[in-house]
Amino acid sequence: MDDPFTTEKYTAKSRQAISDKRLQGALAGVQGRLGPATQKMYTSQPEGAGIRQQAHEIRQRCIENLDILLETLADKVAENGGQVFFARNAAEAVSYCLAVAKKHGVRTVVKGKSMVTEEVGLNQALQGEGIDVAETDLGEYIIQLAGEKPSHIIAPAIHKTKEQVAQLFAEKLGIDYTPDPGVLTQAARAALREKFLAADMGITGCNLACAQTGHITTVSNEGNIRMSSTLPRVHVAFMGMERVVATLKDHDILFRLLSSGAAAQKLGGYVSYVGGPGPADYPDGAEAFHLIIIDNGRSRMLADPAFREMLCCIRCSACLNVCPVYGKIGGHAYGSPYSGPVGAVVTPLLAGLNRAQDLCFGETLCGACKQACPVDIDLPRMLWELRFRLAEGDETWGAAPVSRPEKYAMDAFAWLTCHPAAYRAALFSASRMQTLVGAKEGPIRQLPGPLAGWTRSRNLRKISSRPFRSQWKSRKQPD
Amino acid sequence: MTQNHRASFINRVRQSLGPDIGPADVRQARIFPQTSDAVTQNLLQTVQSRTTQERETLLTVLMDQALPLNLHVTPVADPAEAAQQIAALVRQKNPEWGEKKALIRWSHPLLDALELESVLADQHIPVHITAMDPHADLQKQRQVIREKTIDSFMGITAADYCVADTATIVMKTYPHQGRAVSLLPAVHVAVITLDQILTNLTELYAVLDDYEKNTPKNGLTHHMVFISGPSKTADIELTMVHGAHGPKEMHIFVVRA
Repeated sequence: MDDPFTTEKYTAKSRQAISDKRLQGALAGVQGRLGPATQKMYTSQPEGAGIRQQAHEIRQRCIENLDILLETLADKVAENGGQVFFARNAAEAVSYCLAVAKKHGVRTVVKGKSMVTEEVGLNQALQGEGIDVAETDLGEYIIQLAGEKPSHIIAPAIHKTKEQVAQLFAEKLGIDYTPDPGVLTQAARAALREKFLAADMGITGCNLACAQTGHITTVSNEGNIRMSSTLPRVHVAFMGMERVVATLKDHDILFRLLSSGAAAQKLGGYVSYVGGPGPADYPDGAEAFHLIIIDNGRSRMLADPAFREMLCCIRCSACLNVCPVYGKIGGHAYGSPYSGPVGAVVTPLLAGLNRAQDLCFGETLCGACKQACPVDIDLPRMLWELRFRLAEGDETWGAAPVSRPEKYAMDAFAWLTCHPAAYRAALFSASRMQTLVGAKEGPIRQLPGPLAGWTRSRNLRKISSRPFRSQWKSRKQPD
Repeated sequence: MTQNHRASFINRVRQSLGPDIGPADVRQARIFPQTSDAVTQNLLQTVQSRTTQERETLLTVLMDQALPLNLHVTPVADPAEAAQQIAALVRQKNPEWGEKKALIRWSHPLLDALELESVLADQHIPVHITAMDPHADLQKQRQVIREKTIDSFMGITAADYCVADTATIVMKTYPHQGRAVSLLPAVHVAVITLDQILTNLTELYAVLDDYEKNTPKNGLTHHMVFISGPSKTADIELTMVHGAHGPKEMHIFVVRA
């Protein structure tokens, strides 16, 4: 199976992105347009400013009863004639989907945008079996034609200009070159209509399943997910196990906030509830419906009180639209289907802390993502927690300390600060020795040897020859 | 087929939740209350006792909200006027794929009352219906309905509810009412009645919750869809384009009588 993560290239790809002028323009455009508009939508809700906290409580209650919700959902879907498969990992999810495809003699697949299928590497596996897979979300279709990966959860082709899309469509679809988004969309519409009508299987993700009624739900503006779940003979839905809520009423606030967070809309254009196949005496609907519920590392987040909150996420991408880091480096740098602040937390937890360590160190902890999150997830806290685990090493997550020398140095510093006499002695000798590294005038610009990393992007203030403590003592006390 | 690991999967989830979560049956009763709460009851009461004047106000809200979504809402006096309006649309619009003009509609009392077949007879427009005969070959009927839906440039549906605040129509799924009618044709026309308009999503979900709990035959079926305007995309440089995959145009006719 193909590895969906290329997190090791974070620094190199970030650098590349920052020097890409077109990308910088596109990122500024999406953030400038969606960031403030989303904030405005939150404040216009009748529940008032507390609505995001209310949504957080709903999601938290669902996560704390996840066992019950999943069993209820599965039973209800079965009542409606659907089949539910519980996949503990990516390999199980993919092999089940392949088995379904084989059983139904599937040759062609149309797909709605789904990050979890990117996470499990589904497309490559299907193509490996000789099955034709067409992404049908316009953005996903563009990047599939270009042989690239999504760079934004909601607007996957945001890194491409209309001229680049025009070039691509001229080459791949044989249409005349035109950078008119209307004409380009029409060309994709025509090409994909044929795919929709011919497809044997439709694959979709799931926004928020409803346990009470036994439905998955999908939200889209294009109608491609409705096509994928209505027209082909077989519908397979992939769902991260956390994406379930208890009742229909939970959907009220959550869909309003999801739509605001994702696209500054009151409600997404199409919201579909699918709980089973279309019975034979109905005019349409898939003949078979399979729901694949995926763990793939999520139960580890559930078991760790520090990261359980991450499972409240509804993948709206509001945090991408305000993050100063995402706004500069774009989605590809994260090397994961999940980019931006959400990606910086969830990717290390899925791919391995050490492997994806740069992602959480790369964020700024400015807190913009928490303000933008429709379900008020404390992403900065979890970024900080990840850094802590990475600094100290963490057995449950199999994480080694990022730098042992740094860890020992910090341990030593901690010890010193608890022992005043030793601290004074250390400070005294350091203030004498700093002249050796060129700190005669002004700050230290470059530390020697292994310490050089500290001064690569910042200066180090000189240690004063008179420590603060003695300055304080000699100061005239106010009356 | 790959072995299903439901039991071990759920066990793992339960263990990850920790030892203090409490017995499943107690939690189950708390999460899924069998009766509606007071807030829901009040909302249902409000919906039921709504006056015509209040409904007219909701209609105004609906029209305001529909405008930015490029969704056309037209109030009509009766089904006959709705039929005339539809006939006018049929005359104006050209088919997107192919030359022929054909319509497809649900089998539904309100749509039957439009008598579109006779209204459109002088234009020689065939009106297909997604009705199923339970005694004939179902598979074959599905195939025929599919082909007719593909061939139609306009699809006509009713709806169960309409939400004014978000300009959304809500359609549950019943036999004789094809889902693709509101999806494949380039123009989607929904005919609703004034009393189907609700204020907002909160009211809608109260009504749906009541339906789920109190409908004798297991409440909501295998499918339901909310539609708020024509299909759209902004995936190329965030430029809004209507008609990505679904209908390029959408009309709602609100029948007052």
